[in-house]
Amino acid sequence: MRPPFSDQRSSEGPGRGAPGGKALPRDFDARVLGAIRRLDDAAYGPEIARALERDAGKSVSRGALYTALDRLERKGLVRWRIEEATADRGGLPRRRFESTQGHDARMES
Amino acid sequence: MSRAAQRPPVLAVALLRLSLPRGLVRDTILGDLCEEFNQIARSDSRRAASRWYWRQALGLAARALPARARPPRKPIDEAASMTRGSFVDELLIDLRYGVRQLARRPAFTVVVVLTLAVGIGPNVAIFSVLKGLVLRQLPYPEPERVVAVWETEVDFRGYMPLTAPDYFELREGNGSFEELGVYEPSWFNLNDDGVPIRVRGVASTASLLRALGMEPAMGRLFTDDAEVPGNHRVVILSDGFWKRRYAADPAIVDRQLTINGEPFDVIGVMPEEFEIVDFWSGLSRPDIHVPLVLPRGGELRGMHWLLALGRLAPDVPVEAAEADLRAIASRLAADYPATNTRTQVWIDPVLRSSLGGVSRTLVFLLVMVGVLLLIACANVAAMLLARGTYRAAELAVRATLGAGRRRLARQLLTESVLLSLLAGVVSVISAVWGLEILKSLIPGRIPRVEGIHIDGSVLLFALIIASITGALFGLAPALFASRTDLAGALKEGLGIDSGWRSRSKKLRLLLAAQLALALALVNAAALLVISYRNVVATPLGFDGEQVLLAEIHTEGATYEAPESRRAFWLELAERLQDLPGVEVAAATTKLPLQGGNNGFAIAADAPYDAGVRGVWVEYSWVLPGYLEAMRIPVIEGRTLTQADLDPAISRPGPELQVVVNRALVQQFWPGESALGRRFRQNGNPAAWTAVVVGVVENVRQFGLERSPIAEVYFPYVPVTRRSTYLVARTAGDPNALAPLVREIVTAIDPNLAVNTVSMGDIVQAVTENRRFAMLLVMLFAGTALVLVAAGTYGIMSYTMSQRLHEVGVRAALGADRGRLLVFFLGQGMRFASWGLALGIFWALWAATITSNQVYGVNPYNPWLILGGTIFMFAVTVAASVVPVVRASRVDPVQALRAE
Repeated sequence: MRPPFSDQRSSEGPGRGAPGGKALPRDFDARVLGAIRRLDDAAYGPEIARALERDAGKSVSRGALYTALDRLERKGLVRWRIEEATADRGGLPRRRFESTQGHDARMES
Repeated sequence: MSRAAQRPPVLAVALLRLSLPRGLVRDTILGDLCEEFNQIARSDSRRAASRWYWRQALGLAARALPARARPPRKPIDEAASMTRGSFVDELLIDLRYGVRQLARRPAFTVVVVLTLAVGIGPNVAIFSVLKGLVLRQLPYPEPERVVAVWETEVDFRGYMPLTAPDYFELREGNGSFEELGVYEPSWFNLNDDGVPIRVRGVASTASLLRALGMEPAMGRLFTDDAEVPGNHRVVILSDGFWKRRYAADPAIVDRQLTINGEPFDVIGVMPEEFEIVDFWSGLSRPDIHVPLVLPRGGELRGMHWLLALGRLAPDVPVEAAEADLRAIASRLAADYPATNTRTQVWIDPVLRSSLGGVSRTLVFLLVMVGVLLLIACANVAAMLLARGTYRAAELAVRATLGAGRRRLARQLLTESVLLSLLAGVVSVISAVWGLEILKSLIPGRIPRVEGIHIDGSVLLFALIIASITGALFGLAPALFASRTDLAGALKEGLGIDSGWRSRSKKLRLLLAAQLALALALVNAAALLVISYRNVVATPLGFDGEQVLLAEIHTEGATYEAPESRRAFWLELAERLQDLPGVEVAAATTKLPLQGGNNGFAIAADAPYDAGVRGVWVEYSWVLPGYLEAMRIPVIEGRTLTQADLDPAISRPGPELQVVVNRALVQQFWPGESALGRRFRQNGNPAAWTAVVVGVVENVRQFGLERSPIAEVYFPYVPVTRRSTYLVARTAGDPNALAPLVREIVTAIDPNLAVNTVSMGDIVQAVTENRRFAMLLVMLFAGTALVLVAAGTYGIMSYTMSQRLHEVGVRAALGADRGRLLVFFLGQGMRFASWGLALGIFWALWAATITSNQVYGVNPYNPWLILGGTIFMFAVTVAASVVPVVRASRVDPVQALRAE
């Protein structure tokens, strides 16, 4: 059991959802995953958020987004790697997300 | 807006850092948000970006914190390590526990929260007033570069407006200002639907608008061409006026309005936040803004009438700019010795110069509410300490189970901060409501009142002050309770209290502290009440009852020539004079209590010497009948007549027949008759020479509190463009005459708007400021007394309940009720006496803060402090009597059995 947004690698196996996760709409996670696949090389946090906002036509809470990303990661559906900071980010690193399901899945969307 | 990356709101970032678990993921999320923040700041505004950032930060924290607070479901062997969890984790556990504790005793919680709210609420309210009036930044870009420029007598920093020729020289000659502009606040006769109304406005140079650096919300600003006569008929509306008068009509630009009888084109609307702050006229948001057409000639070298604001060039310090302007002023003094010899220039940061003495009163009030808060703290600390009795057993159990002292103290501290935060919320809610009342009480002449409201920084202040309060009143009980004597406390839990003795000593110390603090407040309130009474009782020097005033602005092309202005006033006074019910009708350029139109004079036979300042003299230009209408007593000679008027209008340098006040005679010819004596303006050549034909009593010129200075009543010459007041003494209610005055003015000129007010209202208005401060401090002192009385009652009740056994023993050994009463009351009062003795010193010190608010009373008046001390003592005795009497009435058998 670990809090969301934790970067300690989970000891739990893929596929086991977080206890709090059930309350959130599953289709939101699916949309996040879809956005990551579509964005491909450019799937950074802000870009994913913007893609979701474009699709939904309304603003998306960053809290909801990062919780969903955390959940997807724990289910083993996405993984991320650290990339360098840009000037706009106050010197802080960024995460590029990618789907673990490979290219076939990306073609669907 | 600059392209450089900006920082998101510091507090929101701190919130995120606290709520998200430390590590790489947190850094990337912070980075993402920072990136998006910058994108929004560039595409929209920094304000929008900050709003967005806060929303996201709160959302993220709301999701992350509960997850971290969830009780960890870990195996037993790991539980031990949890007691040394991260700071945030422990805090959350403490919070959860604290909420449960408070919910368990709702009555206690409510009493504590309300007591604290009584202390915090006034602080929040006064701070928001201070913030709205003084601390709020001006809405201009880089407001710190905007400064006010004043002329003054040499070696002095007085507030004297600029002359038009000096303005041109200063503006063109300096190298330190990006832009320098001048304005004149004024009233305008605006006519857009047949009925003229008076609107507050500003006539300014185009350079003033550039100096402030604000863009219009709609349309355009005027440029330098508009300062040429003929091009000047353009007007910019304020946002408020546009919404109020024209229902935010989007087609307002290019519409024509009649202003002062001439057609003006609306060219723009200023943004909502635009303001020009000016204590001179009490202005902060002018309704309209028109170009100022300045005369270029040198004949106005002696007339100081332009208020100046400038924008310093980047990186030029105020001192350097001032030195630059002073060099120009010195050159002018050499070139124009007649008018400029004794004129110097100085620079004042604009906000300070705009608020005059308001901030001093506010700081005084802030100190007073600070004292009130301390009293509330001491009060609550006593309640918590007393409650410690009931919690001692609980704490002891927790200590035996391994909780360290620091851990326990932190738990108690968390609870008190939680209490004070709750109180902070209550305070803010009540402040929102209380602020409306406060705003309606703030005297009308103070600018920027509309900027007072609860905003982010006020909330932050409330948060900070509530946290400090919590720490303050929670600290002592927390340290005390955590230093637990385990065995004793456990016994206590069984009903055997061994700790009350030291506890009740601490309680009485807190009581003494409250008394000491409250004494200062009571003393300040008494000083202010006496000062107010003194101010109201000040002899005015005139009789303003049954006098109607009508302020009329003879502006525009019709009244360009002074003769036409004088003709208008003479006709108006004459027509009014004929009305039934009007005893005398006249006019004046300046009202009593509203001075500020002055110059310097010397005896007529004294040779001109540029190094001599002369006598400071107030000027009033009046029509015959004015002195009679105001019932200003004549001491010697006669008042002005129609015959005095005619030589006054013929220029240049005429010899005028004038009436002077007693103060002028005392300065020029002390102890002698002034009739037939001559004096003149201190200039070369003199602008006027005067012959004294009469002497009248002094009239208060600058409010009620400043002693009168020398004054001259000239026969009416429409010299300035300043407003003129019609003055009419009536037989009955002056306000009943108002509609008739309006009718007559409209008959003479339908384009003139009239504003009537009775002189009685003006007299009342000048004491408003003081009345306001007095009422507030009385309210605070009253609240403090209630707190102290309630605190005393509570502490005595508690102490007596703990000493019932002793009462029983003493009674059983034969002490009668009277002696018991005296004994216990005496013990309580010993502490009260210490507190009050300490309070006398503290009140004397606090009187130094009050001293700039008093009038006609010694702030260190020993009798007043003594009276306050006795009064406070009586309050304490009264509050202690009931619990002590109740305890002494207890049946000794019952009391002994109660053990």
